[in-house]
Amino acid sequence: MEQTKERVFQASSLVALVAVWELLARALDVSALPPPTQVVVVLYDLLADGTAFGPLASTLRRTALGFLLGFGAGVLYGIVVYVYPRFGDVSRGLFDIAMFTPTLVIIFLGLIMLGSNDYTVVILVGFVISTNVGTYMRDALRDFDQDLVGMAVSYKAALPQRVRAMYVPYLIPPMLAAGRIGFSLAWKVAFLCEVFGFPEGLGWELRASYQIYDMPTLLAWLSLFIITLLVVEQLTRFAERSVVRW
Amino acid sequence: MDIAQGSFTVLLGPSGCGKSTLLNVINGLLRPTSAEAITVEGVDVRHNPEVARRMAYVFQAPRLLKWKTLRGNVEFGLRGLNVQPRERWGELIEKYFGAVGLTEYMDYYPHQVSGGMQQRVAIVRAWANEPQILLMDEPFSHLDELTAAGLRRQLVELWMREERRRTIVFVTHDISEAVQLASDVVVLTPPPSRICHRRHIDLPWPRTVDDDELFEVEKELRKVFIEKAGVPL
Repeated sequence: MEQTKERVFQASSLVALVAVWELLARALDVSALPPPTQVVVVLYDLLADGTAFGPLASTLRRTALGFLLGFGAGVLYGIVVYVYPRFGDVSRGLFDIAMFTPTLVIIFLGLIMLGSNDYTVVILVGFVISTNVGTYMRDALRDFDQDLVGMAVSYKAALPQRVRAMYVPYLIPPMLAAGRIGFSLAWKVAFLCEVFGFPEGLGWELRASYQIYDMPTLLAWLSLFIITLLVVEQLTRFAERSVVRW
Repeated sequence: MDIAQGSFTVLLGPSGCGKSTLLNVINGLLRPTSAEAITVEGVDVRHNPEVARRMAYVFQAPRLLKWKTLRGNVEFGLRGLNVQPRERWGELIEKYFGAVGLTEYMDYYPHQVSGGMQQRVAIVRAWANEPQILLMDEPFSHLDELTAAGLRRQLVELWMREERRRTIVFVTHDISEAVQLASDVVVLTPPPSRICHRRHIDLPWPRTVDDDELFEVEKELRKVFIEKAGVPL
């Protein structure tokens, strides 16, 4: 019941957004803001004739690979810091610099230094999200209840049992949360890489539409970007509800 | 200090006197500073992990894994202490959940039951291993008095039902609790801690708070607390 209410509220905010958009488009009547109906028609055409799927698949592939790289590195960092706190002290400054440096600057530097290719996008996505996921995992593990460790030691639980029965279940919720945030960030970074220097993918399509001032197509690509993100977000939430029952 | 097999020994002392530390040393969670500081049937616990496997620990807080069901939490202890054969686990779990009246809650998660029930599960987790020695560190101090009284009664029933096969070492700073439970009370002083008094209580269980003899023992221990342990009451 509570979930249904939540969904109704979420859907109503989207409907409100589209309604405001429609009213603004009618009131302003400028080419910079086409009405949503016009954008939906373009989006439908892009999907119907298959034009959308190539760029979408390219961006998704880069995002997924970069996400896996960055997520794995971030989780590994969190675990290493938990096991060797001194490493956390040493790396904290570097991590903070990496995290607080504007993402656009990192993208520009990466594209200039490594060149505009698939690997660069994957590395950039991985780098940006590894710092966020790493920080999240580090903080989650820092809060692990040490009384439980004492309990496990008193019951002579061996390391494999502790990892399987204590650490992994404990980490599942923060990993899912970090994954959700990480994926949305990865998706944006891949998109921006394409906007600023990669001649393929959703970002590039959006840029191409911008250069010829084709606003309905630009907004259609942007809608596709947002819809994909919302679908992944919902899938992750569903996974979270299925796995985390406690 | 010698603790007799099958006794219910209560370590009574003011906060900070090292009662919990002593339990941790007995259990091997902390290393004693000298060899053979703690021996069980003549065997040094430092060099014999099997001795430590015959002990189980109940802490002040239940320390349950919130992502495991109550049954799963008890299985965690059984697996850790390598209780064999594994086919007996089901029987042990049923038996001890039944003994504390929690059979119907075995598949609940900790957050779905009360604090008192969680502490009962912690007792089941320890008891299901059928330990030779049960270490209990102020296990009822976080509970309200009514719940604590009920749990004390269940603990004694469990211990008596098994004909006092298990040796219980119970830490508390509550004199009333000590006299209700103990067959032997060891009173410790504030740091630097030392034993200042030992008292065998030869009264039958279950004990009630309005028992005159018990009240006399309690008065005696209060006097010891003030005079020997130097604790103002």
